Amino acid sequence: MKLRPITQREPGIYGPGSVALPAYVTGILLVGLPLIVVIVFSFLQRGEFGSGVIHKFTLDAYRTVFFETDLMGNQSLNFSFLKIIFRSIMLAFTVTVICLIVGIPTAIWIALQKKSTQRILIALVTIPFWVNVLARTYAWMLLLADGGLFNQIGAPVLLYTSWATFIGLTYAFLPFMVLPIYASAEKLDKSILEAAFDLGASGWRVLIRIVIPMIRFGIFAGIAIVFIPALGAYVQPSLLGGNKSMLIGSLINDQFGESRNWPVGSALAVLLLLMTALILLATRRRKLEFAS
Amino acid sequence: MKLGISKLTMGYRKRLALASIATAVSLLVGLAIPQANAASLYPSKPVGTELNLYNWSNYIDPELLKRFTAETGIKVNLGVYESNAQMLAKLEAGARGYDIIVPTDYMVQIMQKKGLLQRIHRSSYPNGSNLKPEFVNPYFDRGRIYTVPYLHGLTGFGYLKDKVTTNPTTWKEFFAAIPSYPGKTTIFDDKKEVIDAALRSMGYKPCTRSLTQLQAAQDLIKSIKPNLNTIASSGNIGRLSSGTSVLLMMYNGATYKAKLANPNVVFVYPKDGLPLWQDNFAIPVGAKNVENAKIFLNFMMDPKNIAQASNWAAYNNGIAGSEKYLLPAMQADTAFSPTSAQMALGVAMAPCSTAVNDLYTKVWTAFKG
Repeated sequence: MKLRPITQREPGIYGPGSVALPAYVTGILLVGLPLIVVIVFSFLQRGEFGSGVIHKFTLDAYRTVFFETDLMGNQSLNFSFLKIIFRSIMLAFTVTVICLIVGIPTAIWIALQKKSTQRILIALVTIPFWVNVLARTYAWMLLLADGGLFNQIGAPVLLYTSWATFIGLTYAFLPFMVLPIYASAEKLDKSILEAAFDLGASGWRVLIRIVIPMIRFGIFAGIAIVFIPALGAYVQPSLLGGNKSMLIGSLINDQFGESRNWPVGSALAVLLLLMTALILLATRRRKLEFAS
Repeated sequence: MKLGISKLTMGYRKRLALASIATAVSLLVGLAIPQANAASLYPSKPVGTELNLYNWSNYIDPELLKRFTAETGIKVNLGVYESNAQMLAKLEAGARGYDIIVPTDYMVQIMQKKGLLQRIHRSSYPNGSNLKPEFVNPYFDRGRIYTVPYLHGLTGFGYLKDKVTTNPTTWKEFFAAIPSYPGKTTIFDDKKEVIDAALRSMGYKPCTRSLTQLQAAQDLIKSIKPNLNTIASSGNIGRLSSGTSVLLMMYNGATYKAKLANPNVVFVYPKDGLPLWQDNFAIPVGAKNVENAKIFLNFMMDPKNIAQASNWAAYNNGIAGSEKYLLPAMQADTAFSPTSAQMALGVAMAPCSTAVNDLYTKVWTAFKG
């Protein structure tokens, strides 16, 4: 934040644009092109025997997503897809809120430790990444099962309830919340906090009026990188939650798999993308407002 | 999730390009060498030392593969999948380099219609005549032009006889018993298996077009949903033997394995009918090591070798003469070898039409909610 804007650097043959070239190439090749294919597929006709596509324009996929003909032939707005999308958003929202509540104090506390302790704590936060998420989810299954560790110490059997889903997701995404908040909290100018205390501010007041505003970029980043993958969460709800209600992630998976309807799968992916983009835009707007 | 889709779609474009090149090349080769057909007969010696097997996860004895390597000098690289749909999606998206795949019956038909399978010329194999007669002309591959049989089994249900005392023998009784064991029952995460079972329990036929019948099936499965602990196709052996679930949809071989861990386990061949499924070896179009693949197919049609696979997986096979190599205790158990009356209940299931499959999707979406 204290850096001068990049355009004020000494001019040279390698301008900022050319340095970013590999990033552009990677972005266009690995993100841009596949996205275009997904968008195009969502407007095509379904292939023979179900899978694949036929190169003919149609809005059928979106019609299937938004309208439904029930088994008795009545046409209506398709609430099942809307319900699934709403459920996914609520799940992601709840997980993000829990991660915020747990993540902010954790990150600030780490940032206030000695440098050497900080390094150890950050290493501890990242250790779970060394093990595959599926293996860690199975470990949670054992912990939460009937007769598992939690049950033995008196907790009810949580496996196959939404509580288990929330525990698994919070556990999986918490590091993504802690790390960016820590990164901005670590740069906090401690003398400002001292000044606030000297002027008589209470601990809460310092937290709400000074610390939180100063680490807001870390918080926004944390919200974005927790909320967005949580929208597509798939492993924890199916393994821990009992797989009893569909989420957008499993729905898209099913369209490309068992249901063999690639255009509808693509249409759902496009809608998910639009929602994600809206959320990103919203947080970005907030950032600009704060910055000005 | 998004990444997965991008991979698929990228590959699809590539597949089109590759397919057109492959067509052009094969046309040229066909013109140049009229007797190209000879190359597809059983090979006299392996080509290279690699074989890429794409199989269901946990579905072949690793020791058997080691023995294959020891006997033939061909190294097996194993890739695994969790469902037919996953395998199909991967191949359709242009995956190349798999020499052997293991599609289930109905998937053989779909893949063959899509032109994804090679003819294997089984009769030129030394072990090609070892098939049990009832495995020579399955509905999905008359005369076994594209496949050789691997293992087969039946989808019924299992329960713990010390917990479930009503002694259910039909799908009707299975669904009726579920509400008595809330939080202790499980069904597959499989649209077709579940809806078929629900239809059978009411005396209807699978793949029905009747909307009232499908509606009734939907109402039935929705009504039992609150009593399920989970909807899952894997992990059920542990669930049943540990008592996490006391009544659940199961394959016969998996139930046999659960029985080894818990003697209270019972497998039921429901009297209102059950699906008989068969997994098969096939060589996909685009395979790199076709000759080695054929050596593998021949190896797996040897009674002793296929018996080892059966002993490990607890599912029976379609090769005559393998009986004498099967574990006696396993062979004596009806969960492994159904009686002829039980076997007669099993029906080989053709896939539903795309239109009916879409109706099934509606029922399933309404059920999962």
